[in-house]
Amino acid sequence: MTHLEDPGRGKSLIEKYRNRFEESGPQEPVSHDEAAEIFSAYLKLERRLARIARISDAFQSELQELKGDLEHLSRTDPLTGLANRRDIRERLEAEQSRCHRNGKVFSLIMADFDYFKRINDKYGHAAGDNFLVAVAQTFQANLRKEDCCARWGGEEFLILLPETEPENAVKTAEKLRKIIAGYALELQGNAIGATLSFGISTYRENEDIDACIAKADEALYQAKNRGRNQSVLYGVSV
Amino acid sequence: MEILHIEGTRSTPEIHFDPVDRVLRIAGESYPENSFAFYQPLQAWIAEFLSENSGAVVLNIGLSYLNTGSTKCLLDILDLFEEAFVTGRDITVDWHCDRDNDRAVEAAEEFAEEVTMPFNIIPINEFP
Repeated sequence: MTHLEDPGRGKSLIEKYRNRFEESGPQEPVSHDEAAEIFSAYLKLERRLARIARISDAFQSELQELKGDLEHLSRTDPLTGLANRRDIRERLEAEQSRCHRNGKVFSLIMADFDYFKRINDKYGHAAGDNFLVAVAQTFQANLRKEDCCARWGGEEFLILLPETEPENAVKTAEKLRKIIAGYALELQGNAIGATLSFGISTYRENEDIDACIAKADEALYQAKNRGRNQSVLYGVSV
Repeated sequence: MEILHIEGTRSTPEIHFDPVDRVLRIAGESYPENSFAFYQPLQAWIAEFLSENSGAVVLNIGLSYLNTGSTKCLLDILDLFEEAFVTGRDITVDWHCDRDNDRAVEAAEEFAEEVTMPFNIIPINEFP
C-alpha cells in the first residue's frame, strides 16, 4: 500500500509508535515489517514537508512581488510616472546628508506651466493630462540619471540636481525651458504649444530642506512676474 | 448534523459546510496566527461528518493566499477526504484559482498531486 492508497496511515503509525516509544523507550526492538512501515511513513512525511515548503515558497514569492509593486506605486505619480512628493522628499533628505558629509551642494528647479488652465478650458482635461505626460517624459529624457524629477503639484514639477552648482542648474533649467517652448502637442488636428516658468535655488549648508524649496518657489514667482517662460535663480536680480 | 458556518475575516477564509447538500466551501485568504487552532474545529467536524454520513461530497475551494500552517492544515483536510475516497466514497475537489497566475496554478497542482480523488482546477472568474 502506498501513502496515496491510505493517507491516514502515516498519522496512525506515528501515533502507534509514539505511544510505544514513550512507554518503553527506544530499546524496544521493532520487527522487520514494522521498520519497513516506519520507513514508508517517514518517506511520506518527508515528501509532504517538501511539498508544504514548495507551496509556501510560491505564496511567499508572490507576496514579495506584490510588495515591490506597492513600494513602487507608493513612490510614483500615477499620471506621469514621475516620482511623487514622498519619493523626492526622501531623496532630498539623503542629498542633504550627503552635502553635510562632502560639502557639495545640490540645486532645485521648480517648474510650473504658464496658463495651464487655458489648455484645460480650451481642449479639455485629457489634453491637459497629455501635456503633463509629454513634459514629464521630456524632462526625464533630458536630465542626468542621478537627477530626480517629481510631480510636485497639479502642474508643478520639482527637479533635484545632486552635486550641482547654481550656474549649471540655470543651464539645465534653460535647456528644459527651450525644449518645451519649441514643442507642439498634436491634438484634435491642432498643434498646441505651451511654456513653463522655472525657479532655481541652491542648497546651502545647514539649510532646512523646506527653506530651500521655498527659495525655488520664490524664484519661480519672480519668473512669473517678469513675464513667464523664463528661468530665475533665487537671490539674483536682473 | 448542523450547518457549519465560519464567517470570513481579513486573515481567515469563510467556511461553509451544509451536511444536506454536502458541499464544503472554503473561500478567501488564510493566514491566521495559529492555523492549527483555526482549522482544528473544521477537521473535527469533517471527521465526524465522514463517519456518520455516506453521500457524495464536493469541496469547493478558492484560497488566494495560504500561509505555511494553513497549507499543512489544508493538506490534512484533503487527507481526511482522500481516506474516505479510497474506501469508495464519491468526493470531488473543485479548486478555484487565477489561471493567469503561474504560481497559483503550480500551488494548485501541488495540492492535486497529493490526492487521487478527482481534482479540478477551475479559473477564478467562474467561482460561484
